[in-house]
Amino acid sequence: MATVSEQTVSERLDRLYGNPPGFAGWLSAVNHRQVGARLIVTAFIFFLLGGIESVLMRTQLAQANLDVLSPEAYNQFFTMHGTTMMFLFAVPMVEGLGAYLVPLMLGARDMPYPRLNAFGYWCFLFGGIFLYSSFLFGMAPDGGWFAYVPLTGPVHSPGLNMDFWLLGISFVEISAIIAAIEIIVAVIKTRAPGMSANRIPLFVWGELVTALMIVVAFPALLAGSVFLELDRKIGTHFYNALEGGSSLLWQHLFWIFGHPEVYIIFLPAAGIVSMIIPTFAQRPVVGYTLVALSTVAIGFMSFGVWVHHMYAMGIPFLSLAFFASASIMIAIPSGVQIFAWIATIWTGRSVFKTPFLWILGFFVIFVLGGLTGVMVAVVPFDLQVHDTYFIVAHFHYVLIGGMVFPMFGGFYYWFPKLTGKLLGEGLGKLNFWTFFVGFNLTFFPMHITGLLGMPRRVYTYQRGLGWEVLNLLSTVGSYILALSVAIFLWNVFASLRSGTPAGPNPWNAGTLEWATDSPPKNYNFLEIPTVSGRYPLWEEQDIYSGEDIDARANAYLVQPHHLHRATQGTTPLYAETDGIIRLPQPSMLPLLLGFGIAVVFGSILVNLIVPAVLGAIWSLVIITIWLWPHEGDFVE
Amino acid sequence: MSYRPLDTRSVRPPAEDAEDHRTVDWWGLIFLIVVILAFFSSVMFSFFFLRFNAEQWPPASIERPTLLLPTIATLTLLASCLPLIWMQRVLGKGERPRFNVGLGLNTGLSVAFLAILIVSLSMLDFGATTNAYGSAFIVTVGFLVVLAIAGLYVGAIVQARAWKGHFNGPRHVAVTSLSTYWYVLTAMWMVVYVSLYLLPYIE
Ligand code: HEM
Ligand SMILES: [Cu+2]
Repeated sequence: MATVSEQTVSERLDRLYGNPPGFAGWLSAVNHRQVGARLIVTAFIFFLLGGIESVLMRTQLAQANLDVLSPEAYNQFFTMHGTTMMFLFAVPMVEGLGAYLVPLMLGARDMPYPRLNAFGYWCFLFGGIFLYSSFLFGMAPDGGWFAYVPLTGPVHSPGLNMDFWLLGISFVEISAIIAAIEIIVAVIKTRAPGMSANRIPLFVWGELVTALMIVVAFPALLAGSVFLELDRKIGTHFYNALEGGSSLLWQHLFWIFGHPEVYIIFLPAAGIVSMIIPTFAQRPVVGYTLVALSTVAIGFMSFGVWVHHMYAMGIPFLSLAFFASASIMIAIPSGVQIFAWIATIWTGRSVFKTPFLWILGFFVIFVLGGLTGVMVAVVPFDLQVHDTYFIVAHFHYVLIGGMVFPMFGGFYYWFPKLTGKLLGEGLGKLNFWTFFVGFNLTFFPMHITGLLGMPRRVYTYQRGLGWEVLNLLSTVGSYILALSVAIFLWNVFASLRSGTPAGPNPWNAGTLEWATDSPPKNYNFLEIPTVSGRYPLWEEQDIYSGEDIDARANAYLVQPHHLHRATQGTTPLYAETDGIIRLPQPSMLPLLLGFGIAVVFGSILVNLIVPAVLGAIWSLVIITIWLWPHEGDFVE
Repeated sequence: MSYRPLDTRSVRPPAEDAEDHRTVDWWGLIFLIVVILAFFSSVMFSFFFLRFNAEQWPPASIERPTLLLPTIATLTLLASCLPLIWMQRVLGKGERPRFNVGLGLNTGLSVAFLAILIVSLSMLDFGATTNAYGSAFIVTVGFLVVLAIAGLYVGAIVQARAWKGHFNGPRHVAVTSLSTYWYVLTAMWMVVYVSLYLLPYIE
């Protein structure tokens, strides 16, 4: 029988899983690492845009009665800043990290629906461009990131501003839901043989619970947005109190989504922490089961907490008490995670490299943010500080502490996997310390400005209220933050040009993504590994010594006459091989479908019926082609 | 290291005769249904939120919708599920012509359901812009109409594939997916039928 050398197999598979050549090939890419990297880079660009908006706001507030931004511009800026950070940065970023890393951690060659994955990316990109194009027309949304009605209804916001917001956000939500389904099914079906549920890396647990929350929570906002857009465009009365509607309905629908949103952002970030700490303590995480279970618990509880955003709205007292205790309850599983992390650091031999530093920064800030959060959860206190800068300070401590710090830690940690080069340590430490100092200088004083009574969302303030020094400090802090981000970008460019080559596993980590090359070959794993513990690379056993059926699956995946992409299918709980999952080739369909939907949304925006119908027909045609099986798709 | 072809028959892509849960298509459908149900729950939540917010529901100026046509539509929809059950059974026995007939029957009854429903909607004496009741009513029913049309559209594709002879194994995930989607749709319609049409008569 003919045999083939490993090198031939590698070259052949690399071609099979790579892109077709040229620009068209680039547009038709469906590989999870390409889609993931695009999500990460695009989300980071939106982070920069949101950051620029916030620095301009801080400049306007540096002193009393400044004139940098007009009141209208200020409204647009805080709305676009909040919207960008929540919808265009945080969620796509955690999903992008998931799209890139989850299959590598699971030992798979790609995600289960690569074309859908690419479609999700195009929806995100088009939705983001859609939202930002409003600036070109001077009609950027200005109703705040939670877009409360009646302010955002047809009577009070007759311009197109809120239509940009509603349509753009819906577009981005579709993309988030798609990416979430992708991640869930990847975790259920494509784990390496032997990776039973109690061996799934904790980052993947975080991504999984987040994805499940997205699938349940985002449709609520989608429904709310559809109602509001209908109210605005065709004159329905969902939120019109005069005709029996209710503006409280919007608030419920928004916060059914909005509260879980905070944990949707936080759980994958906590997953990053749970990956970095064991690596830099050089020991398995303490209390794996407890951490995984509390991840699930936080996911469940976060749905019960939504009403605490509406304390000031007059909800009957009994349910108030219930929701107050639920808000505090969530502190318990969060606490469990924190203790597990501390115990891991305590009992390990810590290596203080840059990724680890970011995680320590996360600890400090997150604990502070958690404390103020418990304060906010106490009902009477909430009424006191409601809509002041205390709240602004609180949620930035939670969001930046809980998500941005771990994210930067994750960047330093996985950058070598993405590019093959390490980021500079010296610049990294400078990056960290400027960020840490800048962050605290920006947001700590806001607690006090808030207690002194400064309301949020004001474009300026009067002299002599004792707010000037504190505001100036915040503004200086935000400049230091901007400088820190610039240092990071410099670090990235320097590393890409002349960084130290990383090798497959620069940190001596234990999970599967480090078994691949840096950057991984197009096919990720030549053979699908077999897992016998939580840290396969730290185990004695060879990861390529599976059962007979695993060997046969691998033989299938590398066989010479094998002409289409595929990855291993395993059972949901115990991850036993139960087949091969056939994957599609690169395709233009995702881009074409995204384009069709963008045409529909754009036409709705400006009330054009004919293009809307044409766009819909175009989309239907694409869907039909997509669903129609190709030659040989199911005959072997 | 070098590779030599091994016997890989047992680990091929789960094709025509695989159990559903081995395929990712099936799992994708499950979570698509989860998304649809989450959306539907929000719609129903909104309906009841507005209802309990109102003094009278439907408002005094409005006739409650009549029951005759919606009830016929409901029965038609329930009837459209029967050929699906039958069709899966005959597909299991490999009787392809009868399978095609079953699929056709289902499509026919579904179209009838939609037609009757739309006629009944056009006979209402209120519209989506009359008041909040009208908005909630029309949009809730409209959402199911859209889902039904989407189901029919995908059903048409499955049908075309059936006539081309794509389904010759004892089972096929495209077929089970379509039926599952239709059962879920029927269940959602029952919720809508009870809450929007029957409830005003019971109270
Ligand atoms: C990086 C530095 C950042 C600075 C200097 C900053 C600064 C600000 C400022 C000045 C406001 C407006 C306060 C007001 O007038 O009411 C604001 C609002 C907000 N920020 Fe940030 N922010 C930053 C990062 C972030 C991040 C990373 C997120 C989320 C992940 C975020 C989410 C929000 C939200 C949701 C609002 C509320 C918007 C609204 O009122 O509708 N911010 N921020
Ligand atoms: Cu909250």
